[in-house]
Amino acid sequence: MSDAPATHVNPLRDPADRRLPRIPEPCALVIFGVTGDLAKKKLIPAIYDLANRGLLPASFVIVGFARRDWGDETFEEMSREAAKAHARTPWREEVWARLAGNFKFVQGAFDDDAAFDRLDATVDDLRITHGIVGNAAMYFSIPPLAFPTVLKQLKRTGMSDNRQDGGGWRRVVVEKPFGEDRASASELNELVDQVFTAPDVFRIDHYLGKETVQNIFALRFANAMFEPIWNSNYVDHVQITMAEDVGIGTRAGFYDDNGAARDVLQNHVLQLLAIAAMEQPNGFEAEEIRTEKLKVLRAIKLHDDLEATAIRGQYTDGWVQGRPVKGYLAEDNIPQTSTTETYAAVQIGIQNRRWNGVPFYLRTGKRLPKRVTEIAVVFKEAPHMPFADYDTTTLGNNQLVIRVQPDEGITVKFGSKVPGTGMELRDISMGFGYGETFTESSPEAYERLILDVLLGDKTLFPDAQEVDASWAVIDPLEEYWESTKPEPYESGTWGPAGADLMLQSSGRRWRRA
Amino acid sequence: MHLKDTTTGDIMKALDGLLHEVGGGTSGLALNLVALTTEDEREEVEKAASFAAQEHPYRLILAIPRDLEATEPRIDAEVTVGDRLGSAEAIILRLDGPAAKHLTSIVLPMLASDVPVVTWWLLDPVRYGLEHELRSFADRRITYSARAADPVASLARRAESYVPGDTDICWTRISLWRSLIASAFDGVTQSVEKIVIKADDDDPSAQLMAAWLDTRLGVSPEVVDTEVERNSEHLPAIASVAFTMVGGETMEVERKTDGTTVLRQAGLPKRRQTLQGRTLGQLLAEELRHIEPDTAYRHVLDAFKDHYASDRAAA
Repeated sequence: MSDAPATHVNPLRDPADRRLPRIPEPCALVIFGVTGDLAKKKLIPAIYDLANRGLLPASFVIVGFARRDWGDETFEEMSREAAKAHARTPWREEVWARLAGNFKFVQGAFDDDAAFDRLDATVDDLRITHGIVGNAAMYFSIPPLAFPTVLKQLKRTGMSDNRQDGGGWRRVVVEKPFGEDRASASELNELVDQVFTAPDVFRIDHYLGKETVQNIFALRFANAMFEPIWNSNYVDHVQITMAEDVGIGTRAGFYDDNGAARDVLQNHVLQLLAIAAMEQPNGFEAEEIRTEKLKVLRAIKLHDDLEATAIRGQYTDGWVQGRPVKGYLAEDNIPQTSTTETYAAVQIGIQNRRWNGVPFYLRTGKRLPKRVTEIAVVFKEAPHMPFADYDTTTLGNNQLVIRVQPDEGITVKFGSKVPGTGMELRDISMGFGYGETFTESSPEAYERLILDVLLGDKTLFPDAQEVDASWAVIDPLEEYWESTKPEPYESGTWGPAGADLMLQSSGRRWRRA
Repeated sequence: MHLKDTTTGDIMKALDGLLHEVGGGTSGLALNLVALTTEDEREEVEKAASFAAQEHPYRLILAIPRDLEATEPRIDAEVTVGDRLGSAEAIILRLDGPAAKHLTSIVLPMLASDVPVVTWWLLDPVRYGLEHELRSFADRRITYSARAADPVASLARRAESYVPGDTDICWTRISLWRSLIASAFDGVTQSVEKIVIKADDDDPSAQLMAAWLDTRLGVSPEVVDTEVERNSEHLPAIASVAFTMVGGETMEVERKTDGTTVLRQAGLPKRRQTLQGRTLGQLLAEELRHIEPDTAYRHVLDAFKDHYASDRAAA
C-alpha cells in the first residue's frame, strides 16, 4: 500500500476521447544559446508550429539566454523572423499574436553569476505575471564544453530543483554529443543527473522524433507477418545507412575533433539499430522500451578482425550534385595532417538468440552521392528454387527496406516473372510511401520532441545507460583507428573501396541506397 | 477526363488509364471517401476534400443527384488524378433519374478494395431517400447537422438512429474549445458546482458541449440563449463557458468575435489564446484521422438525446 496521495485526474480527460490533443501544463521554455543556428532554424519554428496546431498551453513563455545585447522586443522580433522563415506550417499572424508578449530575454555569459540570478528571478516572476506555475524546461543549445558551467549555475541558483511545494517541475534538454567517449560521457551524465534528477533529463536524438522511426514499432509489433521472419533463420544480414551529400559546413572545429563515428554512428545509427533489432517490449511505456533497447545495445559485439570490418574514409575533392566540391583537407580550418574520418563503415554482430550469426553493416558518411537514411533487412535466398540457373541470374535476395528519410516509407523487394513465354525471373519492388504532400501535416521531429519534453513523456529519449552502452561500442573502434589513417574516397561516390571489400569478402554487396 | 452517359465499368477503365499514366496505383490509399452533394455545394466540397487528401490519400467518389425527374437513368462522370482535387483519385458522378436512387450499385464497384469507406454528406440524404443506401456500405458516416433546416432536431434524429461509426462536424468543430477547457482543468482539484454556457440555443455544437461537460463533470450546464456573432461559419455558436467550483472559485473561458479567447481563473493572471474557426477541409481531415467508432462521441450523444427528450417532454 502506498502512502502517496492519489494523483489528481482531470475529469475532462478521457483516454477514449482521441480528439483532445495532449497539451502540456502551463510552463516556460528556457533556451540557452538562443542566438545559435539550432534555435533559429529548428526550435523557434517548431514552437510556432506547435502553437499553430493548438498544442501549446494557454500560459507559455519562451525565455532566451545568450550573450548578445538584446531586449525582450528584439528577441521577439528575431524569433518572429526565424519562425516565419523556417516554420513548416503556413504563416498566420493570429497564431503569432498569441505568442507575442511571451518572449523574455536575459543577457549574460555562462560564468556571470549576476546574469543567472536575473534569469532565476525572471522565471520566478513569470509565475505571477504569466501563470506558468513554476514549470520550466531548460534547453541546452550550447557547445558541450559549456555544459558544466551552466549546470553549476543552475544548481547554485536552485533553478534546477523541482519545486516540492507544488511549485512546478524543472527539466533539462541536452543535445548530442553526449561526451566523446565512455569516460567523458559518464562524467557528463553524472553531472547532469546530479544537478537535475535522472527522470528530468531529456537527451535529444532527433532521429527518434521522426514518424518513420516510430513506425518501425508499428511495423514490427502490430503486424503478424514480419516478426516471424525477423531473425537469423530468415535474415541474411542488415544494412543501416545514413548518408549525407553535404560536407562538414561550418562545423570544422567540432567535426575534426570527433569524426563520423562519434558524430553519427554513436547516436543516430545505433539508435536505429536498437529499434530495428530489439525484442518486443512488454508495453509501450518509456521504461519498457528502454529496457529492450538497452539489452540489444549491450549485446553488440564488434568483429575480431577490425582491420577488415572497421573501415574509415575521408573525402577528397570531386563532384556532388553536379557541382565541384573541395576535399576534406582543403576545407577551412582543417589541419593538413588531419586523420579524422568523414566516413565510417562497421560490421557488428548481436549476441543473442534472435540475431546469432547475422552481420549488421552500419555506414555513415559525408559527401556521398545523396542524402538518404534507411534500414535494409536482406533475407536469405529461398532454400531451393525449381528454376534453371539462367532463369534466375538477375534475382537477388528479398529485401525489406525502411526508408527513414527522405521519401519516408517502406519498400519490399521480391522476385517476379517477367511477362513472356519463358520463365525469366527478376526483382521488383513494392512500396508504401507516406506521400509527398503528407509530410506537410506530419509533425517535424523537433516539434514532437519539444512537445514530449513539456509533457514529460520520455519514450523517445535515450537515457544515460543507453548512451553508455553506445560508447562501449564506439570506444574500441576509436582506439583501433587511433594509429590508422582513413582511406581517401572521391566526393560524390559511395565511400572508400575498403567498405565494399568488407561485404564482398562474404559474397554480399551494399545496397545502392 | 469527362465521360458522358457512361457506366461504372468505363469509369474504372478511365481511372486505371489515368493512374497508369502517372505511374501511381492504389497501394498507397488510406480510405475511400464517398461524398453526397449538390452542384451548388460542389466547389466547397471539392475544396475541403482536396485539402484533407493531403493528409489522407484517398479515392474520392463525389455523387451529385442531378435531374431526379428524368425517367431514363443516366450517369455522367469526371475522372481526375492529382489535378483539381489535389492528390486524391477522384470520380465525380452526376446522376439522373433512377440512377440516383441506386447509388449503392454504382458506388460499390468503384471502391478501392479492402480500405475503409467513409461517407460524408452536407445535404439531407433523407430528401433523396438515400440514407439507408449510404449507411449500408460505410464504416464511418460524417454529417453536418448545422446545415440542416432545424439543426438541433436533425442532430436528435441522428442520435436516435445512431450506429457505431456515426459522427457529426458539429462535434468536430468544438474539439479546440474542448481542448482549451480541458487544459484549463489541468491542476484544478475542486469539484464543479455550476456551469453556465452562453451560446446560441439552436446550435448543435453548443448542445454537444453541454452534454460533454455533463457526462464528464456530472453537472448539467445551464445554457443561456445568446446571440453569438461568429467570424467563421465553422465555429460553434458559443460565447463563453463559466464554471463555479464547490469552494466558490470561478473559471471562465470567453471568446470574442475576432477570435481572442480569454481564460479567467481565480488566483491566476488572465490568459489569452486565439480560437479561430477551421476550414471545412481541416475539420474533414480531423474526422478522417479516426477510423474506429468514436466512443466518446457516443456517450455525449446519448446524454444529449436524453436531455433533448426531457426538454421536449417539459415543453
